[in-house]
Amino acid sequence: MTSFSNALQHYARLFYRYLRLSIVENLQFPLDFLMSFVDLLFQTGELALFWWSLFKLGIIVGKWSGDELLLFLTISIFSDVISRFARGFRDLEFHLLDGSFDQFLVRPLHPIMGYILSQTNFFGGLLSLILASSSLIYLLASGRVVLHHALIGFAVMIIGTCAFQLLYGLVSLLAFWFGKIYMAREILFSFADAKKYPLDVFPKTILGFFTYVVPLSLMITIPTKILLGTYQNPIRYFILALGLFVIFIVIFKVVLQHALRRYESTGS
Amino acid sequence: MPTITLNDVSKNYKQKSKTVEALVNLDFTADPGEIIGLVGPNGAGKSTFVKLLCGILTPTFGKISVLGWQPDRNRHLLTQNIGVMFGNRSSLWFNIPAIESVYLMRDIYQIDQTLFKERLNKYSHILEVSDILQKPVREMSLGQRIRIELLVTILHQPKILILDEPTLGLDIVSKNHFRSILVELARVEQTTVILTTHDIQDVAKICDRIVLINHGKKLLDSTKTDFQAMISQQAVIQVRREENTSDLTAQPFLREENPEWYKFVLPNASKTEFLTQLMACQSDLQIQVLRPELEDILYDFFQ
Repeated sequence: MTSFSNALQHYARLFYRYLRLSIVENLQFPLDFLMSFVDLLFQTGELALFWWSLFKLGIIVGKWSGDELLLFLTISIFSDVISRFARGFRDLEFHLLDGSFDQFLVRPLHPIMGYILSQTNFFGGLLSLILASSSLIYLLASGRVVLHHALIGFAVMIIGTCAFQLLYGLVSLLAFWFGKIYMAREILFSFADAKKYPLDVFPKTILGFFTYVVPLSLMITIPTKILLGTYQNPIRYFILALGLFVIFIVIFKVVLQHALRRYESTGS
Repeated sequence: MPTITLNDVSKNYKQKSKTVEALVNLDFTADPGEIIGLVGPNGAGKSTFVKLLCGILTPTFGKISVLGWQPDRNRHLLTQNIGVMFGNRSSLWFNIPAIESVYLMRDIYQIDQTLFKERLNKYSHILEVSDILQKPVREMSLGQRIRIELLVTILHQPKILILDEPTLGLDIVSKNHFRSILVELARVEQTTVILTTHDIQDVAKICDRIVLINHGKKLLDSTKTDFQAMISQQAVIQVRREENTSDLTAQPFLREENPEWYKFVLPNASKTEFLTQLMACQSDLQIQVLRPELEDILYDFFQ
C-alpha cells in the first residue's frame, strides 16, 4: 500500500513537472503561445458552428436539444483532454525504429508512462480544460446537469476514455513486432471519428459494438446522458467501463511485457 | 564484490530468415571504482553490450547480474542506481533553460532535496555549467550540452555509470574536462564507469581496464599495467618520405603510409634486424623510432 501511494505521489509530482515544462516551453515562443489559444478557439468554434448549423437547418440529431448538445460538446472536450495523454502512442513506432525509446528504459519509471508523459502537450490540455470547465459551469448554473449523477458521469467518461486509449495503445504496441503500423492505427482512428457524434443515433447493434467492444460511447455519449439524468441506473455503465478498463489494462500489461523482450533498440 | 557480472552471455537478432550474433559467449566482471574502456570497430557489439547491462535488451543466452539484479527483469530497481548517457541522444529539453531538465531528473529519480542541492552545486561548479543553467539548451555549444548531459546523469549518485560514446564531437579541452570528472567519480564515489568509445585517448588517459570487442567476441580484456607491458614489447618506426625515398610498401610490418611518411609497427625483438634491412634498402633514409600508442597495439584486433 505504501509503495502504491509512493508511486502515486511520484507520478503526481512528475505530472506537475511535465505541465510546468510544457508551459515554459510554450512561453519561449510568444507567437506560438498566442496561436495555441487561437487554435483552440478555432477548433471549438468549428464544432460549435457544425452543431449550430444542424439546428438552424432543422436537422434534429436524435432527441438532443441545444443545451444537451452543448453538454455533449463539453464532455467531448474533457474526454479529449484525457486522450491527449495517449497521443504519444501515435509516434511510438518512430521511437522504436530509431532506438530513441531507449531513454525510457533506463529511467526508474514505467517505460510507457515515462514515454507518454514526455510526449504529452500539457499546455494544450490545460487550455482545453479551462474551456470545458467554463462551459460546464454555465451548464451547471442553467440547471441542465443532474447533480447527483455528476460524479458517476465523470467517472464513466474518465474510465471509458482511458479504456479506449488503452485499446489504441495496444494497437500501437504492435510496432514492437511489425515496425510500421500506421495503417492499423488508421483503422482504429476511423472508428474513433464516430465519437464526435451522439452515438445513440446508430442502430442498437452498432451502438452495442461501440459500447462493449470498442468503448467509444463510454467516452462521451453515455457520460453525457448520465449527466442529463437519462438513465435510472447509471452505475451499470460505471461497472462496464471499469470492467473493460481492467480487461484492457491486463491485456496491455501482458502484451507490453512480451513487446519489451522483442525490443531491438536499433539506430545506434 | 563485482558490481557487474556476465556469464557466457550471447545476444542474437533475427533479421528476416537469418540470425545475427551480436554478442557471443561473453564473460565479464567489473568492480566498484573501476573505469573500463570498451573499444572495438563499428558494429562490433559494444552498444549491444551496454544495452544488455541497462536492461534495454534481453540476452538470448547466459546470465547477467548488475548490482545483484538481472537487468531486464529488475529494470526499475536497477535504473535507480545506474546513470546512462548515450552520446548521440539527448535527455535535455531543447527549447527551454537547462535547469528545467535538471529539475525533471530530480523528480524522475526522486532525489532527496539536500542531496540534490549538494550535488547540483558541486558538479555544476566542477563541470563549469553553473552560469549557463538558465540558458535554453538550443543556445548552447555541443561541449556545454554534453557537460549538462553528464550533470543530469550523475545527480542521483549512480553506482554504475554507463556512457556510450560520450565524447563524440567534443574538442580537446572539453574532452579532458569530461575525463577528469569520470576519474573523480570513480576514485571518490567508487562509481563503476563503463565507457564505450572510438577515441583511443579516452581509454589511454583514464581507463583502468580495456576490453576489446569485435564480431561480438571479447578479444582482449587487459589492465592498464598489462597494457603497458604489451606496449613496451612493440616498436614503431617512421620513415620520412622524400623525392628520392625508395618504395617501401613491400616491406613487412607496414601499418600506414601517406605522402609524408611510412609507419611500421613491429615486435621490439625484431627492431634491430628490421632497421638493418631498411638501411640495406637505402642508406640515407630518415628514420624515427617512436614509442607505440594504444591504437598501434589495438589496430590488429580491429582487422
